[in-house]
Amino acid sequence: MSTDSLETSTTPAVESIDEPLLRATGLQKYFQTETGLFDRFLGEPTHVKAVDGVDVAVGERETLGLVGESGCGKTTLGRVLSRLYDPSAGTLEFDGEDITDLEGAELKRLRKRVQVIFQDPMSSLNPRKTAGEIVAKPLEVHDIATGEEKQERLAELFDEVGLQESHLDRYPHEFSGGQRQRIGIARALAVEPDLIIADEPVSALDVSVQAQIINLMKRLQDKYGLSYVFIAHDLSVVKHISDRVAVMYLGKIVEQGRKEDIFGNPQHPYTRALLHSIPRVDGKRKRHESLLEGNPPSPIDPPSGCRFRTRCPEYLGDECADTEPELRAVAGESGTVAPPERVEMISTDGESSDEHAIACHWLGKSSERREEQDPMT
Amino acid sequence: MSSRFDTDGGRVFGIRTDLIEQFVDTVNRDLKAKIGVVIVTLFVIAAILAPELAPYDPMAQDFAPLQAPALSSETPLGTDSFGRDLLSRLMYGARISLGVGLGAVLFGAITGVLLGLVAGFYGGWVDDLLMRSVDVMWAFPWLLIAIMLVAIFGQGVWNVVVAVGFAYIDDFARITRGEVLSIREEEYVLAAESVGLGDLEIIFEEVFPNTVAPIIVQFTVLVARAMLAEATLSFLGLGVKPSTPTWGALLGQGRDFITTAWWISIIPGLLIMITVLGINLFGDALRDAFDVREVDSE
Repeated sequence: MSTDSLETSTTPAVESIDEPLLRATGLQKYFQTETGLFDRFLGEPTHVKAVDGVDVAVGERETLGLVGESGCGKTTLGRVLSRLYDPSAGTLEFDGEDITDLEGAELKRLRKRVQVIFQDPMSSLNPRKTAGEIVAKPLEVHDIATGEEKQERLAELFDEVGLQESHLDRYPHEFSGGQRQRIGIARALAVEPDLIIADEPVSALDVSVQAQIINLMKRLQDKYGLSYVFIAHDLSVVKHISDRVAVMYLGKIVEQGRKEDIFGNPQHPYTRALLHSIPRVDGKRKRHESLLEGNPPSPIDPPSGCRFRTRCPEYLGDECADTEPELRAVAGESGTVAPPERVEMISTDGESSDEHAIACHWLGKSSERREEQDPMT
Repeated sequence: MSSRFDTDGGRVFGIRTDLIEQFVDTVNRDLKAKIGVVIVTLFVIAAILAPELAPYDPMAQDFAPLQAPALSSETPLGTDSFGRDLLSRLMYGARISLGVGLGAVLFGAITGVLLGLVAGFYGGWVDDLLMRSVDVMWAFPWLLIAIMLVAIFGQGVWNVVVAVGFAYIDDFARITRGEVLSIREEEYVLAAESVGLGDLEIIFEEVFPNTVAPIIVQFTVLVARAMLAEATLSFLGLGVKPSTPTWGALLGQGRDFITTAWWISIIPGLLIMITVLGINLFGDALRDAFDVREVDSE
């Protein structure tokens, strides 16, 4: 067991990207719960710990997939990363600049470089504005183009996302879900950003349309050299588009690594359980075998120690309840187990890259013992 | 470019021309809207052109026709007890009644909507402060405030407008705030923020246009109440000068003669009713025209 990996409380446990475009360190976002008048004077304020100490980094032209169940804080994390929400603690760096406390004109400049695509393509478009007005807005706000030039740029953007020029003066309700999401993409693309944070951009769409939108996003990434933070609750969606993946549980990242690490050699019990729950075509797995039971605990009062312990199929003992495991590199550590045959979608021969990290007490323990306890074998 | 779309131009008095087109469409399609537009236009024209159209000076007294029957050719609606031509007084009265009715509600709407927008959008202590202030306004009997305002600033049309409109601030503030609270949760508000719009742009471009439907309805309902409120103030001697003709005042003055000359009261009353009806129909048409979804689903 390497000792130096334990002393990494201030810097990310796993340093993979030399000069990331976006880096979050120790990021937290707490929401104060609604309280009545008496609670305000008498009681302790309670907080929803939506994001509770997250370190992530996104490199240039890279896609970071962010996965987790509903309510794990991934949407909040996305909004903090895009500075739509102010972080409660931690720092955010973009292109080498500290953007944690940017305000006013400086924040507006950041908006030109970091854009957001939203989950609900109906709710994210103002019903009283035409598609053209919606996409033209960022061009106007940032003085990018006016008059004739703006019209040309609009036509160009619409063409780029697969819409027609005749769509410009239609209202959002006249479009299909997929088309609406294309408008959302065009709006994000209008300012020619470096980074787009996509918050479950395909969750609300039909499966056939999902593929179209993901392919469109990939094509745009190649063409414009975009970076993405791609948030999803579905691992199979993330698998297609991501370079690296971070798995979130109750406000914390429990496993992260290259896509091959996560899908070919998952090590955190939660990731393994999530992958296990993806339906398989060959029918090798029986349906009742789901390893995840119940709902995530409340983020107001998360479990002591490891947050996943209450639902963990590989619960280790008191240690899990006493101390909180830190995110540590998997490579060269004992306590790892062979990738379950059924989740092997991308072959890595069970080798981890040095970016692969998990937050679990099994790391450093006996691999044989874990093997014995493995609920999947 | 074949598209009629243009994000820069296409505005008349700040209103998008396609919305005006939609309004014309709605009016063409909908008989009720047509009636509303006709009534409102007719009364507004009568009010504006009263000096040209009225057969007599509304203040001029002529006691000869007092004995004449109501429906004579010289004074079609007869005269009041001071021998003033009723038709002329009604036409001039339209100016004050419509003016105070619309003006007071406009005053209440602008103030209230602004308060509601700010309170709902910012929430927190701003919301608490503004809405509790509105509650205080609401807790005072309207008439007391009106008496106080008139006592301080004196009689006059503008003071009546403010005194009457003051009572409607809380209605508009509450309605707007409620709408804003739900719209604030919509992702397009967040999207506007992510695009880089400032608070004011978000409030007026994204939030406000989506709150107008209930505000228009409330507006048209309150115009009626405002016209009656003006009548109340006039009746109490707190409105405009007693000799100035207003529908409310005419209605009140005619009360004494209701058994002998019923039309002196009934006609202004009917006019108030028809105006209110017309404004309501007009408001419905406006609301339909501005609701882009509704226009299409029909």
